[in-house]
Amino acid sequence: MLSFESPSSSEGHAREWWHEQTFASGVSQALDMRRIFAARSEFQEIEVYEHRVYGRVLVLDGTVQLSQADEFVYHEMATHIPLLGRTRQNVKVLIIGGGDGGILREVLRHAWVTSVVMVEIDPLVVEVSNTYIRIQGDYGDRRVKLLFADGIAYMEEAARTGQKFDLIVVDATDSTSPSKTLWSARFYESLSACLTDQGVCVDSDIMTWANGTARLSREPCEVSVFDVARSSRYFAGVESYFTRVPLYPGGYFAFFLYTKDGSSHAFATQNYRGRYYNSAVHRAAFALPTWWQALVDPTIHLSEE
Amino acid sequence: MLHEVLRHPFVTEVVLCEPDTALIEVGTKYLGFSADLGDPRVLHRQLASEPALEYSRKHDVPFDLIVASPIMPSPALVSSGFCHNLAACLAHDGVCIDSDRVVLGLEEVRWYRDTQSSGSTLLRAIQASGDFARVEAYQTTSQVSAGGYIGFFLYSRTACSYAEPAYDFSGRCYNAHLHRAAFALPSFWVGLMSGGMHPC
Repeated sequence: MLSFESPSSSEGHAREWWHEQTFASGVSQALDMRRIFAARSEFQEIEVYEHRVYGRVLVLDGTVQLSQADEFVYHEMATHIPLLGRTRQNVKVLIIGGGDGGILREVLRHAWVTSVVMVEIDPLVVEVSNTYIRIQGDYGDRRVKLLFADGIAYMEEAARTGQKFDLIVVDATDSTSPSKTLWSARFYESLSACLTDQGVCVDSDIMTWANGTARLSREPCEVSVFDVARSSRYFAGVESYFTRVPLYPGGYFAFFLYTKDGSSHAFATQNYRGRYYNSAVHRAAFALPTWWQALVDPTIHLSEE
Repeated sequence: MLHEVLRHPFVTEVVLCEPDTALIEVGTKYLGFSADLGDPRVLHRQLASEPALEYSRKHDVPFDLIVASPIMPSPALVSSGFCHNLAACLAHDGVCIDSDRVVLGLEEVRWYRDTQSSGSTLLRAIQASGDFARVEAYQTTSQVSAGGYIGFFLYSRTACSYAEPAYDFSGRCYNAHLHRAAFALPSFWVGLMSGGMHPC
């Protein structure tokens, strides 16, 4: 039984402080937890820890990916907003990454999602997640096809063979090794090439606002989300929303929706209630702080301090 | 907090109860809040929360807004008497604001203060007291705080809702859209407010 500790009962418990190795925003976190698994795959360092309050924690290359306690926040908000923000039928989904199975679990909740292709580069992430995290993404569902391959190469091949998707979820690590080359011109070109005309792609990252500048944790990268939003080279519209994920400190957890027709996904087209997501939360997620509005709308000016 | 309150010209008087003058000195010296303390609308009283409420009840009631600082009062001190005093210091249509952090655990989802004390927190004492007609919750995001959501509680004696902004105001973060959105709570919050502690 996991339990909270009152100050009086903490004596005698030997603390094992683990420190996250992210420095992009100059903010990191320490967790008092015990390592129960570690391995090095062809692509990255994979670790699993046990925390008294958050349960099992998956760490890739020194960065927290999820905990059993809070994973539903990210997975629900990444999935149900693009899926329910527009009326859709017979939806074909492509997941880039997603090896923990959380996005898969959420997309499969909708019966009108008729096929899901998941392209994960690292088989060991799937194996470790299935063994230790047990998020219950159902790879046995007849709608699901799991491939171990490079996401960009897969999308380029799909575009060549005329295969298109209605929802593409980019569920990759922010800054660790396998994702280092992800946010490039080649990536956005292939993404656009295999998205249907009414389709939507969801991408996400931690966004920090400090000293008048917004920065994503993945930066610097070849093509920034803000460049994509400003030009119409890859997509007609980039819409943003955000949520808060407890174990992703240092900023706002930002989502970006790329569309070819510039349509909005800000309102829920049908009722669905998850543990985090509901129709009110859907709409509210698109209300942005004034500084963020000013990033995307040049007519908005911030007051000086 | 003082800095934001003073942005509004319709705020005519602010009583700041801070027993620790060292904190005030730090704010003045390092955080650039000296102009705020020099504002003629501000009165600083070197008192802790309970004596401050006692003093205010006799001398300056009623207040339209009472801001309970995150550490006020210590959980062990929250009694029905404290809630009664708080209500007595508040104008009939006034509001008291309080806040706490959500600890989203695997087996339990709780307010941080509930995890720290076996005594009653201000939220639970207010809910039990009958001195306030409504407890309304909203949430915000803080960039640097790790581990949870920040929840705000509005305690009012009338059943008035604060979910719709009455003024058009835009700060560097705050705006009318964000105001309304703050009241849209994640599904798992339902149990948190009612005191149920297990996630669905």
